[in-house]
Amino acid sequence: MRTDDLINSLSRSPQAEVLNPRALSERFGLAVAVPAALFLLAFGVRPDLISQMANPLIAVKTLLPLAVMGFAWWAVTRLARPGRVLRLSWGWTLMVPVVVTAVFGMLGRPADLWFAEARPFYLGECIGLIILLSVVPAIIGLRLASRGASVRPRLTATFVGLAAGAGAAAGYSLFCTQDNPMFYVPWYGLAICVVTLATVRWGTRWLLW
Amino acid sequence: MTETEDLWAGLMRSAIAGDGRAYARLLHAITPVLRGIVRARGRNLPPDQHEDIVQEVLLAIHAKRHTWSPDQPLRPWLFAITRYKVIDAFRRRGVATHLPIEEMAEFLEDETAQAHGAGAEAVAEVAQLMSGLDARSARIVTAIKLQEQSPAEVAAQMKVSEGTLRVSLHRALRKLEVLAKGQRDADR
Repeated sequence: MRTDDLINSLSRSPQAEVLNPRALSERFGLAVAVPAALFLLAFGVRPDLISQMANPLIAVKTLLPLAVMGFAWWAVTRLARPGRVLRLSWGWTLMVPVVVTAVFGMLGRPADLWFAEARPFYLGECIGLIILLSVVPAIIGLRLASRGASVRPRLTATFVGLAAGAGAAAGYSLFCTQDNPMFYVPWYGLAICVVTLATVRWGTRWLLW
Repeated sequence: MTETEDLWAGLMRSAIAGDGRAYARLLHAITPVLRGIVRARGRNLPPDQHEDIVQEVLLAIHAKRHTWSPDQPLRPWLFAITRYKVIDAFRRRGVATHLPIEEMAEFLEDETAQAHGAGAEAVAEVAQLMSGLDARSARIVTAIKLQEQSPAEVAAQMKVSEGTLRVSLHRALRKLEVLAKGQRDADR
């Protein structure tokens, strides 16, 4: 086909609905919230959830993953539009409250009790359920991200996985009764890393165009 | 913002609002730039594949045009898409290429400068030729051939019949042809 003919053919359908990052974010929020809500409806939230949330070390178990999800999804929407200047390194500042929380956990109990709850059943439940709850958000997140035009598909897949894993961890935290920061910081973190690596491994191809 | 940026961004805004002519103008305007980039980078590829890559980039621009935000400059978006698709096209053909973004911007500036230069030369040439016509003939040629007004409209403005206008236009064009031929002979 001659290039002029191609241009004439393309110019017959010029109209386009401009990508709306807000609509993408709302859909991703639903993709995180619906599986988490169904899980919590089936198995219930932890006892005295509202009063327990007054304890900052319990509240951060939900708030930190929510903050990570918010940052990661924001990065996905920035990457969806090519040619923009990306300043994503500030996201590392989220590691500060994570480390501070872990330090509080260490100071709060003797060293031999730091990992007292790290038993196979609890670890399996925590990591397994976070991974399970992140499957739908990761798939829908990848589909939403593929509407964009990321020129860095691997990085975008990383942020989709991070957002999905962190969102699932935030939902799961409303069920989880392990309030020791030395439990939830490393094991939630591990589950989120597994989800992120799996999303990069199997999801990057969805973002190629 | 440069003139090219304003022009292209304006065309793209009209295009995504549904103006096919503006879209065609934009694609025609960027194609020589794309061709230049592919030609410069694809020396290891047979020339017949260059146009295929240009078309792949045009298709990508079309498929992803909704990702340009109308309140953002168009050229960085265009560069990013072009760079991504050119590298991808070369990689699939087994040819490695390196395409720094700064170099693409420079390339475009060169192309734009050349286009402006060529445009300015053409304008000067036309002005010189038109000076060989009488004022009435020059006005007819300018209105119909350069400003693309309809003959009926121009005839009404000049208070002559459309038939008379067409005869005058025909004579003026013949005279311009003779003048242009004379200038080409003089340039040799």
